[in-house]
Amino acid sequence: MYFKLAWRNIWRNKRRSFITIGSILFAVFFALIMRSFQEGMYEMMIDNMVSISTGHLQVHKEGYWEDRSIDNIMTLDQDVLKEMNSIANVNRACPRIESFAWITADNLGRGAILIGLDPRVDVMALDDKLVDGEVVGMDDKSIMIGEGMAEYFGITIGDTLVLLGQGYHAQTAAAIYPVGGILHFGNPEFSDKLVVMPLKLAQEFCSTEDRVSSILIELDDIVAHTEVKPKLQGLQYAEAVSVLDYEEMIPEVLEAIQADRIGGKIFIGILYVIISFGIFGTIMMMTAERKYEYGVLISIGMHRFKLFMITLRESILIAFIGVLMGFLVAFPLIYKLHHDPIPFGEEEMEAFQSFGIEPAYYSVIDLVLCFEHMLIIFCIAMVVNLYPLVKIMTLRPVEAMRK
Amino acid sequence: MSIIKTQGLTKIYKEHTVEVRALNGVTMDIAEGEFTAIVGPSGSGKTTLLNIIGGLDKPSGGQVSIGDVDITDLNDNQLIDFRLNNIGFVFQAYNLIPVLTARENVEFIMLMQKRPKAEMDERAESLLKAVGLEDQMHKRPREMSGGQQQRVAVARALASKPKFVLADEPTANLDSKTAINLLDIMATLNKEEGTIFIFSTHDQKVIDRARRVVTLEDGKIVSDVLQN
Ligand SMILES: Nc1ncnc2c1ncn2[C@@H]1O[C@H](COP(=O)(O)OP(=O)(O)O)[C@@H](O)[C@H]1O
Ligand SMILES: [Mg+2]
Repeated sequence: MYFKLAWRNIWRNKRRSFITIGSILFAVFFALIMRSFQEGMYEMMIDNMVSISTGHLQVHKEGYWEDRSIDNIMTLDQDVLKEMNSIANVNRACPRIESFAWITADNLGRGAILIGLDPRVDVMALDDKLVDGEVVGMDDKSIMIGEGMAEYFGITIGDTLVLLGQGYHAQTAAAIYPVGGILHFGNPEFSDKLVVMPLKLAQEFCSTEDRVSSILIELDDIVAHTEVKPKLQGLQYAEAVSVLDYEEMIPEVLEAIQADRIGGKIFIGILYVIISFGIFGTIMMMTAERKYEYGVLISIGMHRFKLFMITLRESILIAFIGVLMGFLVAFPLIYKLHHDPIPFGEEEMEAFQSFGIEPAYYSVIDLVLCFEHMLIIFCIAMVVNLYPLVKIMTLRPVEAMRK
Repeated sequence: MSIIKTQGLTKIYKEHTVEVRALNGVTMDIAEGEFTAIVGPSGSGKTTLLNIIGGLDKPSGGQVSIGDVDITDLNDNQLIDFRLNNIGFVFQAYNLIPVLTARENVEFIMLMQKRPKAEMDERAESLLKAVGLEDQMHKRPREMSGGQQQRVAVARALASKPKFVLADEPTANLDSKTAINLLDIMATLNKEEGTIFIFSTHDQKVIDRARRVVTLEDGKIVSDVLQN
């Protein structure tokens, strides 16, 4: 009967209950969408950095990170590479050459970042980025460039570019290569400056023989980096190496993300305060409206705390309905944005490109994050019940019932 | 044998600096089976007296004992339990829980007493029948007339098997025909259940139905007569 009473009380003032349920629903919906979208953006930023330039973990010769010169390179031992690939949670190990070159064609010139990689295994996901031509093979003697660079030189597939650079131990590096593929990068910096070539070709160009600049490690799950790192450090290398994780390699990006995340949380905190006042208002109205009834019930012999529990049951029901509905409305959208991100319109496109991410509405599916916010809002809806609690505990029936 | 005894009850309200003596030395006994009206002009102290006897308010001086319990000694929680098990209440209006049906309202008080389900069902039905509402049991208060609502309140007051029922102007919001009808029902239940009824009123037709009439004026008993 107590449950029945609570349930019917919800429908007693339908409008008020709808307002309360509605504001809880809105708060949950908004918090979940905003936070999931935000985390999605961070994830994209990190993924982008990790897949194009750093890897989740990276092995390189000691001192390379401080001075990324072509002279600071390491021996690539195929056995070590195999061992890396067999470590639990390692998805793949990708050897790379990284260097700089001056690119010219006709009378145009531009500085570029050279990345030599194994096109079949590398984390850069070239297939997804390809907009023209073909992904070059490991033994091909052609290169791939970003869209921005192709546009700058006004060249298409099959045209050639001249590369001038510095090879290992000050050897001259100069060659002419045809462009085999054009790649799309969300980040204009990459689009304008990146030259991707087969690892073998890069080794030839820089005269490094079998050596590589670094080995990028991609993990099945980014959180595994702490356990994989010592395993990588434990392998037998030909020279002293250092193993860095992405947190050490892109601290500025992570700091920017952390600052933005705090901003988002503050925003949602403000939303919560507003919602709290809204719910508090409705519960105050409800308590005032039922003062007489509370007076009658205490008079005829109902214990105050029991009476409060009836009111609390009602609040729990309302909060539960609101929170659940908020989740049910938000989740399909989060799910859709996770599996099928919606590309931005033109304007947002420009603003977001500078963050170096694929410009699309993408969100993470993080149930812990969802439940955290659902729990917070549920707790807010419970805390406001301190008001009826105090009112009921101090209510004087004779006064409550005097009209 | 007297069930309720009051001894020199006083009640002083202080509003700002003005003192109002709502009760000024009320001493009276109420015995088993009584059907008693407390009458007097508005402001004479009827409500104050019933509230104190009912353990809803504390007197400024004097004692109230019910059976062998001095209720002025009880704390808030003890008083709530005492009221639940010993006193039935009928107020002037809005007695009922609006979202519960007539029958649920009557059962509710027995639920608080943790009576067995079968007994609750049986007693709710028989009491609603006794007040003539056997075919209105599933209606909610707002679907019933004022008189019907008061009859449900009387059924509820008796459902807990109290020693006595206190009714503060139970007919104040009813037309006189409905009022008389309610009084007749109360009188019948008083005989059948043997429950004491104490009600306040200033309606002469209602006063006529009482067997004992206690008249208050300025917080004092000015007459106490048995009639019919
Ligand atoms: N809470 C209160 N505060 C101040 N004065 C009160 C209060 N309750 C009752 N009174 C005063 O006490 C007197 C008796 O009131 P009451 O018992 O309600 O009389 P009745 O029920 O006979 O009309 C009146 O003068 C009334 O104004
Ligand atoms: Mg009165």
